[in-house]
Amino acid sequence: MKVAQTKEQKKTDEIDCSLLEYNLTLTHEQRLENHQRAFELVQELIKARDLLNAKFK
Amino acid sequence: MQNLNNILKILLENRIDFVLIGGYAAVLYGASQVTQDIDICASLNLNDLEKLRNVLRQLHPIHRINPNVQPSLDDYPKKGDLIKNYYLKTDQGVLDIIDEVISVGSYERVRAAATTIKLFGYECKVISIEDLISSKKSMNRDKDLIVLKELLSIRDKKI
Repeated sequence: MKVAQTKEQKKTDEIDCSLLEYNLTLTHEQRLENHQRAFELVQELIKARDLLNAKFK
Repeated sequence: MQNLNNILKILLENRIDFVLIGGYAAVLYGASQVTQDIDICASLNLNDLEKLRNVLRQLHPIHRINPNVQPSLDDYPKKGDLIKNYYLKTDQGVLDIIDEVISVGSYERVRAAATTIKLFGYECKVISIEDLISSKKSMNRDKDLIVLKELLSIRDKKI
């Protein structure tokens, strides 16, 4: 119950505060490295989407 | 695979005078949104442009705005000519270079208030969080609004 209240208190409109908290524990370079991994995942998803779209055209 | 950090490293290693702005600056401040490009603000006179051409040549930059005509940075603008903004596609990802930030001001203004961060062994100028918040407020796009909320929370430590 206490945990749930804490999470609720930290909830702000549409943003995940726990992600921000985590990011702020990292160095600047670590933030960029994490971003790069997420960026690569997004690129892969875009490729997969384009392949799928081409398949159904 | 494209690597936006490689673009940043090349700019820093070659002492290009710029300020990191946009989503990548937001990431440095701790924002969680994934951005697809690197945005920088720079003063681009003829000498600066030549230096940038030499430095970026290894990344094969082309202008991406018109899908039908995408000249290389070496070919456009012609020698001795300048354009205001550069929207480039490179081997390592998209790089946008602008000479002023809407709602903030000129390169000189952005640079004067910028924060300096040590990155990859170099000093990197990053737009101040206040100026970044101002620019995000002025954009009024959904993706910018989320980043704006994150930046406000980070600035005010409401997390």
